[in-house]
Amino acid sequence: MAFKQSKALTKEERTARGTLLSGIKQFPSLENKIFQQFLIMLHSRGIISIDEIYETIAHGKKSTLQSLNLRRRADNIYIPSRWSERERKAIQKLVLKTVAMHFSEEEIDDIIKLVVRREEVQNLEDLARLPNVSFDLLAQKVSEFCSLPKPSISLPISDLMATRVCLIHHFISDQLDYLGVAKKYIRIIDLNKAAENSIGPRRGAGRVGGKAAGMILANRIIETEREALQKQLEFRLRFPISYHLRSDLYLDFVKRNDLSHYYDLKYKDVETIQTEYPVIQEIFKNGSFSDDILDELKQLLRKLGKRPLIVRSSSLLEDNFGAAFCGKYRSIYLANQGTEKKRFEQFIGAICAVYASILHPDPLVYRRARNLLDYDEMMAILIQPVVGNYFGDFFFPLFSGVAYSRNEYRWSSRIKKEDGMIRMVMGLGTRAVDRVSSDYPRIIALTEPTLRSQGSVADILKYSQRYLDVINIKQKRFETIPLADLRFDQPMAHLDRVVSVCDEDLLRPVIGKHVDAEATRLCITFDKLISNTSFAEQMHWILKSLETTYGCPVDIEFTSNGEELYLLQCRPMSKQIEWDRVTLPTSIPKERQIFSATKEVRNGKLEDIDYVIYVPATSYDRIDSLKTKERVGRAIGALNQKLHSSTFILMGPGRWGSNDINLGVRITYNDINNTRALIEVAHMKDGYVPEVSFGTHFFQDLVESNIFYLPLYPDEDGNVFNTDFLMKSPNSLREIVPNFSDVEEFVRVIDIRKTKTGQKLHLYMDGEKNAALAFLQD
Amino acid sequence: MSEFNPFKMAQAQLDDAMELLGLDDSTRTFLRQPMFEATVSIPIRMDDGKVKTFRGYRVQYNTSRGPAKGGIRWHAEETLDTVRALAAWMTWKTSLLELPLGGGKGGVTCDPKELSEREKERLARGYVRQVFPLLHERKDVPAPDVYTNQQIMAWMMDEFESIFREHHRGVVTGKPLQLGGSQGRFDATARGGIYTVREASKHLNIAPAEAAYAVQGFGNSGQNAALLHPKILGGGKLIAVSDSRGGVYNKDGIDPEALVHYKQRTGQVEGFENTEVISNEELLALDVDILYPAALENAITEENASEIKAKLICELANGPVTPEADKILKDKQVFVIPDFLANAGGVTVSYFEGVQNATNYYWDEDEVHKQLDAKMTHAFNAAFDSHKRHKVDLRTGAYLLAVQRVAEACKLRGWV
Repeated sequence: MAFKQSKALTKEERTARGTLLSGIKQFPSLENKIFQQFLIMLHSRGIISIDEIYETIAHGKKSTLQSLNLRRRADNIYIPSRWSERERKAIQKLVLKTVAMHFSEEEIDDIIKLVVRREEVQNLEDLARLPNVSFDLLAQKVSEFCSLPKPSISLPISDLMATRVCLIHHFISDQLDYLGVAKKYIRIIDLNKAAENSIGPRRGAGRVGGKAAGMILANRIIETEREALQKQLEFRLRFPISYHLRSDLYLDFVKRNDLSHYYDLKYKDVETIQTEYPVIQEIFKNGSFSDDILDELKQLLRKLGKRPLIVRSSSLLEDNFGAAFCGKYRSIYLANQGTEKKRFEQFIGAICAVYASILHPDPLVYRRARNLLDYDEMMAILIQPVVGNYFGDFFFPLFSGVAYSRNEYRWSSRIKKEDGMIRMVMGLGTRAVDRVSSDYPRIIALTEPTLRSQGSVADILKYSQRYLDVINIKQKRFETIPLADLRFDQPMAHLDRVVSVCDEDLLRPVIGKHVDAEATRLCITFDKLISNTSFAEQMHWILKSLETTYGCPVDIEFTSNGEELYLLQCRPMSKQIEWDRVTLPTSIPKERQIFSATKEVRNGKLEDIDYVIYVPATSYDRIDSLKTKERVGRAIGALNQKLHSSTFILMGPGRWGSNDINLGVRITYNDINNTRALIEVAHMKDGYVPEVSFGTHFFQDLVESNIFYLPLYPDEDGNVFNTDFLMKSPNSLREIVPNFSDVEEFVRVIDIRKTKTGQKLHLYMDGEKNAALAFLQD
Repeated sequence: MSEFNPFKMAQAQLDDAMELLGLDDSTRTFLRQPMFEATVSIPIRMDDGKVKTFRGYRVQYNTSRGPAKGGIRWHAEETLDTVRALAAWMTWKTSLLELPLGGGKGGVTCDPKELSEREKERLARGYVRQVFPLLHERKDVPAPDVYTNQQIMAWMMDEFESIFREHHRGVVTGKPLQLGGSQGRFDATARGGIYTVREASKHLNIAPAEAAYAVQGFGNSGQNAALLHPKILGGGKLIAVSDSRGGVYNKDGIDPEALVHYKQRTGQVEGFENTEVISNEELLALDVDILYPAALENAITEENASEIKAKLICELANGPVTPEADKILKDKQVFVIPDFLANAGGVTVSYFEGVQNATNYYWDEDEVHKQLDAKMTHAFNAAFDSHKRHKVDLRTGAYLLAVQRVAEACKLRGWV
């Protein structure tokens, strides 16, 4: 039935018509789009269908809709006709009148704004699609877009998706996996914030890097999910104040200082990289910036004031889906105290040092192993005020840590892998992610947060955190201080949630809020935080939300001043190859058993091992010179390179890669990346204690590189440790790395083929039974 | 080959002692077995809502000299035979100290690493609900042991009191101070050990105030031994200390207080100023007058016993010298104060706690120290006399004395 035009317009309707006409007048270029939008709205609201309009105007001419129906019936018969100019005018007139009759003034205004907004979005998208558009221009357009008045009707998300993708591609990341998730959560307004807080060369184009990308996305996901569920979080989630030095600034820095030829370093052998890196580091440190950039950095520092800062790497490859680069590049804490000149010097120094770390041997070896060497890696930087509180001369967060949506450390059968785990510390999070000596973060299994891997109070004390990483405001530096040195004569908010008081074998929570014991009686347990707050539940929810959205397990870094929680990082969790259960052979004669393990065993199998590199505790312990101990580490690195195509395992005392050389051989990732297993030997009498390092960057490296980790306790009943085989087999070190024959007595390289003719060395690990055995077999 | 049975071993040891003492058959038969033992099932509602049933034990080995006394162990491999052996051991220990107590022990087969705090509380209370007819300050008094502590004792006492609806502070010892614990418990083990060293030195021509001493193991009793040696004995030079992470040595002496403070700050002794790094093995072989093994079992074995140069060893830890090593030390004329005498300060102060609970009058720390000194001195001298009288080493002498006293009590009661 044809639409009937009704009587003449009322006063209100005439006003509405006026609003529409003035809107069209204000945006003449959008006249057609505005009419089209109203036409769609009239049609979709059922006020007047497109057919009715057409019938009214064209008297019998078929509408597109009808013609489509016809076409469906006889596709090759009917050819739809196009509107004539006269018909178009008539339709507009009809639309104008109908809209005036059915829409309020405010509605008309909103719809016009919607059309204008869509146009702006489209313009943004068009601009962002241009290949060489500068960051500044794009940022300016984004800013203009964000300052447009907001219509009460939002643009459908589908209208925004393409623009978001283009902008995220420009500002944040070009990774498809990332874009796939980010387009649903990162709004243009979020990009505007990031753009406003970024520094880079004029007319440059660059991104904020991987770490920033993960941080922005994680915060947006959690905020969106929280809003959707109207969830109240006890620890309010705050987005960390962040400033970005874009990747194009790094490029500019490299060009300006003529450093591009150092890019070739990545193709050189590891030894050369190691030798040249200290020099390169110095050269980078003395690099300069343009006056414009220096001015911007100065202004930024003024804006940030004298708050302690962290200058964090955020390279393009960092926090990639699949290659997390855990701790490979540098992040530097700045106390940011003293004169402006001094603070600025240190600020620039930190930026240059982070830039230099792009050529550090560790990330280069890491990239080589993952076929990422040819990627044009660039370093963006994230600058953030450190979260925390002042306490005497110190500044530090109440707690920080790293959390995993999947728990790979399950000391009890009650703990479920999929519930995740937290590794946390009081103070700065460096102690949670680095492999530190003689100190233990609190590990919380989110299935059962109050479950502990220690049974007695003595063990809880022994395996607790004793040192805090802090910023010393007075000394103007990052420091590690013993908890026992803190004076609690001044209040610290929520300290009672973090520490417990130890009275002999009674470990009790702080009664009330005030810590009523001296620091030497305190033990960092987080007991009240776990038992009396919803922290664990909140972390579980955050991890699950992120895992579901990312579509894979994730890990995050977080920090808190006691009341608010900050997500500093989020990335897909490093994956470990899952083996089926391996059953240990039962009939291996004693003399053919080399060693066995009964703790932290995962399923896995290494067959036909070519070499065992063994650092005996007794020899290592005898070394009294620091230089010789360092040389042992370097010998391991050299063997790692030489034997890269062989199957070899590393065995030695204590905690490999610890920052305390006396507790284990000092090595970094590039010294051990080719080994197939890292075996930490803990002789009771030597005092070497392997640490459960799940969650540290070091452990993540092992996981990502599929290196098996095993702690051995040779002195425990029933364990095998074949000292004869390990100590009396010939040492092949001299033949493989002759330059290191001076450390022959400390490093033994056992070439299996030269020891027992025809016999092969295998290492079988049964994760279900928590048992491993290395044995010789014909 | 059959599995190691700790109770069979304890029985064999007792048989030897009873043979030496020439006890009659009926006494021997009676002393070879516990007088009373109970095995209970403890259903616990776990945090996930499911019910899990744990096995619990309480053994009263011999109560001829007084109410049974002995700790409660929570251990994944706990068996009735372990509990029996340890209950027997408590009988000889309280007897040696001449405490008016018998020997007992309890346990629950559980892995504390598998229990949340709330579940631990339920287990502590559940255990008491099952064994409460056996417990009472005048019947059987538990105390903390492996994986149990002051908190668990507090829960147990509270559960017992809520069943009887009256105060029974003395039903367990090792409670927090606020709930009737005793002053002086913290350093009781080390303090008791030092008193025995003082007494032994008198017979060995050692001037403890000038003696060089070393401490192996720097937990609670090791730290206190290092601190109390000079305080109680009027001097002495601490020259080496080790813990599970390494050791430190200075032939000119180490300040014990500064070292304890350093350990509290850093969790280790290694790195302490003006010291050299030393391994545990090297520490044991140092030329010292007095050695305090305060770490783990089997620190001194037949492999390293011949290296020992100390004149006196005070066994603060349980079983730091293996039987084989004991023979070597005996040949070398190293005087060993055996563990069940050297570390009996703990059970003695537990007894004091019971005394204070019974009188509802609480002593100050000095009073505890004075009473402990009297008990330890008396016990050492009695054991020393026995070792001289029987011409055996101090360990055997002390053991014979303890068994003899229990046998005597049983006889006097007309049991055997």
